[in-house]
Amino acid sequence: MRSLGRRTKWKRPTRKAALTGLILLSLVLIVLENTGQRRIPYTLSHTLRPVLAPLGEATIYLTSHIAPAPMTNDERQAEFSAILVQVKQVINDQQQRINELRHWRDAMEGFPCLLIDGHVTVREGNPLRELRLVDVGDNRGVRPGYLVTTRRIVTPYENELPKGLAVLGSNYIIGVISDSAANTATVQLVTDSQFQMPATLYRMLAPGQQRDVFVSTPSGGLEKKTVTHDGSTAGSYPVGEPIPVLAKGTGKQIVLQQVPATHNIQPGDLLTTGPSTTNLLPIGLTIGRVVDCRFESKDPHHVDVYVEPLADLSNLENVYIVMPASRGTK
Amino acid sequence: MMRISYILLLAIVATLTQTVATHALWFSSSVGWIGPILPACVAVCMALYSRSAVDAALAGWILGFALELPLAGETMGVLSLLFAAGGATIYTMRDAFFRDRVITQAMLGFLFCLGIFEISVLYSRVALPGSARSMGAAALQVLLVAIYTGVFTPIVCAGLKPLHHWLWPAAVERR
Repeated sequence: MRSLGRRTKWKRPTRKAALTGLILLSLVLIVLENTGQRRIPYTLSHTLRPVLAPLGEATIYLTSHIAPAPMTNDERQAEFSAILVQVKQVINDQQQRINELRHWRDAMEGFPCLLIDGHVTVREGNPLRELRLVDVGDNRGVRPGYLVTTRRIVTPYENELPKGLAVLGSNYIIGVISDSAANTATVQLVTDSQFQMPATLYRMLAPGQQRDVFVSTPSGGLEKKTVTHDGSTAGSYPVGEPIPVLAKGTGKQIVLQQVPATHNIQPGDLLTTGPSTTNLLPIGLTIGRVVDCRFESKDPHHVDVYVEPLADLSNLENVYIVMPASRGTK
Repeated sequence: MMRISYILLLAIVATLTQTVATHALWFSSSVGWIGPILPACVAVCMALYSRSAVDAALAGWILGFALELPLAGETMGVLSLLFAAGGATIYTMRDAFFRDRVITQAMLGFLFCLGIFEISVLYSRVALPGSARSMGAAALQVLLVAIYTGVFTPIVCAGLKPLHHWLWPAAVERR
């Protein structure tokens, strides 16, 4: 028998004990996550970021540039010519749009949001998720839930925008901040399989197009109405009432489920942020464009609407996090 | 006996490589991104050469945890648990294969990745309800990712061969 006077020697834990401890840690993390206590999992996930962010920044653009096969001079020239034609078309289109929007400018008092410019440094390593790490975090006031857009909003609009104006320039919402650490934040892209956000769907009418829409009658019923593009603008404009929907990521696209078939959604219709984001965003910013509509197998009165994000999510570099101005001035 | 400090180092290197460099090998498909999962390849190699199931599970846990650590705070703990179980399973399965061949490594890499990520997708479905993603599309994406990972596993195993005497000081030669 060991004498009581002898000093007890510290015994290294066996591998079995260490493994048991680690498995217990995993189980604790799972339980914490399911009970909504995310502080510990998130704190743990922040520990690698000081190493990961600079390394990721050094390589993310390198890998995105070496991935495509090298082009020949002829191919490059053909591509440049095509780009030039496209750019000319875009300039003409934008010029027309500027003219159309110019009259709004005087009536507006400024855009009540602050934009935090961020740089995408790391892309999620798991191909099953769509997350990005940006180089701004708590230090710049970034908080979970803030929306992330691709471009700086260039016009200092100040007044409330008129109803029905769906698109303003080319600012696309690409995701929301899901987690923020000291100097970094995680952006959950709109295509991520866990992404969900109330949004608004606008039915667009292109020049020369005609479509049926159901409009509410004073008696509370619905009346079918055929509308034709009036030629007042060279572009598309929204018709009918905006449709509130729930946008969910599918890993590749965005899907809007349980949309009544009577809304007659068509490819080309636009998905924008919904009224639930008015505390974060004063106007509806575009998320994507409808590419497909399929009847639900169990319910022929409803359709699943598939939306393609307008921003190129595979090559994100500079992003802007939209911070409500009231929060920023505090 | 396996050296934990080297395994930790290897897990960090594998995760950093996975997060910052393997995107050049990814391609887009109709079901989402398809790319190899490097820590899964390393976990299979570790399980193939470990001297005990506990060592294989320990290495698996470290690699799984390292993979879920950098970005995703959500569903943390699931991958580490599954990697540990996967490591121990590969260890017990390895003797069923006559020789340690490239095809064996590829097959085990495929099975490891397929099993773990299908369960992980299923877990996400149950724990985080309301997902709009069809199970079929998610399962197909995992299948393609598993095939890609399986193809990569022999390359990773060959790359780790010079490190055997560091990782396992008295490594046992496999049949």
